[in-house]
Amino acid sequence: MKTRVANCPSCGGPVEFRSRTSLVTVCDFCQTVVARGDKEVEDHGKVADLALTDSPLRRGVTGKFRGKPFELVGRVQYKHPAGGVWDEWYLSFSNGKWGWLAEAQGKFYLTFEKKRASKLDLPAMDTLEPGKRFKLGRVGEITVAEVGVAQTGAAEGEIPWNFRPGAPHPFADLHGNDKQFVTFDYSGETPRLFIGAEVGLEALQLSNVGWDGTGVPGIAGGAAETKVAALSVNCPRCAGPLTLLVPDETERVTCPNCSSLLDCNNGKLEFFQTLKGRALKPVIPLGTKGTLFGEEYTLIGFMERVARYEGTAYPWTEYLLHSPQVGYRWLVRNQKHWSFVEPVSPHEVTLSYGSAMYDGENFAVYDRGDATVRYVLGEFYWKVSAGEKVMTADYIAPPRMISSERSENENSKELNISVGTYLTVDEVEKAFGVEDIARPFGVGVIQPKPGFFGDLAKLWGVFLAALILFYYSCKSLKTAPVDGEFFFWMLVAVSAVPLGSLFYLHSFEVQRWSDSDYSPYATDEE
Amino acid sequence: MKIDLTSAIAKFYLGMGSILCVLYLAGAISGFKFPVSSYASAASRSSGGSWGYGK
Repeated sequence: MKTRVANCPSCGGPVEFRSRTSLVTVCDFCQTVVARGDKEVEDHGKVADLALTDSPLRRGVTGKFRGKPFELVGRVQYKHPAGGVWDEWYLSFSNGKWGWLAEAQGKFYLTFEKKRASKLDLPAMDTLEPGKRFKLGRVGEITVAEVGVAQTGAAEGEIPWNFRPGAPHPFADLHGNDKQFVTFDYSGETPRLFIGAEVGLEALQLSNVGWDGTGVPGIAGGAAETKVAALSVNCPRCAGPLTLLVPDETERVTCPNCSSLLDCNNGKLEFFQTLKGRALKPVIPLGTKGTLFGEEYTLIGFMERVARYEGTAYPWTEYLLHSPQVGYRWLVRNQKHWSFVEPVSPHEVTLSYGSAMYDGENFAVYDRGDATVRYVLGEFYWKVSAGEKVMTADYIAPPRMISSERSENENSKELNISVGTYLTVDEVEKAFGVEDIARPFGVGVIQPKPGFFGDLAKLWGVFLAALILFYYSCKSLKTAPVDGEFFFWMLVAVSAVPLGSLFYLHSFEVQRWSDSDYSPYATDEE
Repeated sequence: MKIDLTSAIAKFYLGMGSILCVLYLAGAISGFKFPVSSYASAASRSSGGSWGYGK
């Protein structure tokens, strides 16, 4: 790369434009945003300190993508409308091209700007709704996941667009097949189009990558190496001590001493809300580590949510799990039944009013309504508050459940889809090393149906065949007169268990659907 | 056709069904007659059966 060196218009220190196509660079000495001008460089104001994120990347790392070498030369941190920041790294390729590498919650999305996007006639931002599907040129069908207005925050290094700190960033994120990822950027007069995919870091063939044994590349000097594992702080309300387990990502935390909900900005706490109502105690203590599906998680947050129907509240609790490798997951406990919940791309799920299709399986609608946060404890990666409400729809195909959550505020509309998998209490106890968790009594919504009927039916067939064989054998041998009534009652006796189990399985399904308005077993009288 | 007999109910049914089959075989060979209840026999003696209708 041919480096152009200039002097920072603010402090006079040297600033470099290593890429011939970068528009802006951030002065490493005084954090002034320095833009290329026609003749001289221009001062675009100062940026704040970078928020310490969990990123394993750093500026200066080199790599290859599809055989083409690149250098990671800069990044911008965006403030998400729901709170929190995400990093956007800029990859400068040797042929002058740029790659945009967005990093959020442990996932990486590499996109490239599609020139002549105007020919594709991108939809206006106000026409986009989360969940909406449409075809986009050669990309094919894509699904809107989020529409919102973020804000540019801190930055470092070289940036391939005319970055200004604190500027609004209207955007839409869309997902397609095979982990395709598309962003519409509405910051300018005409929308810009970025097309790419979710990638693993191994696809970028990064240099200076040292594997720390956890499966995550730890780059020498990267943010992940310098991060603080946990931070002890004091509540600004009661001065009581509390510990932040994920201080670089936590946006809200509760004080265990005075039940205040606190805003958390990179470890700095401010009072936000006093939590009212009865205090709940999680059955797995916060801070507990556990391994589920081969991944180690730390339990960092706990919340109670409630759905109201005809004046009755139906509460359930959710446990927020964090892993530096895979990001965030949930454990959900509903009527003492447990499930493990993972996010999935909205494009992978086809939602309709009565059903959802995912992974080749049909899920039947179970419930629709609003879910409201009633109680929170611990740390959260978004600005959670008591009273926060989302529109939900649940679809079931035991032992799995698809949940769709739509949230909307003045700056963002988002659709989050997740898949939950049933866990037995024994599995939860074993995973987290806890004992004596209360057992459920009734049938869980996605509790697997007992699978014994198939074996009983096979045995039933064997016994019926044997009885019929004995009946006709004795009749033909004429050893003694054969009593037909005795034969009939033996057939009944041998059928009692399989027929009884059929009745039990029917009752099992009826009970599973008893809280649903969409029960296939409901009668008109109900 | 493989039958999984690990569940308790499958084991129970295997035992119960086997006993019933053996009992039937033994009963059929020995000429066992199913006992007729006194009510049934009384009904059968009446002209119209248990419903009381008859000629």
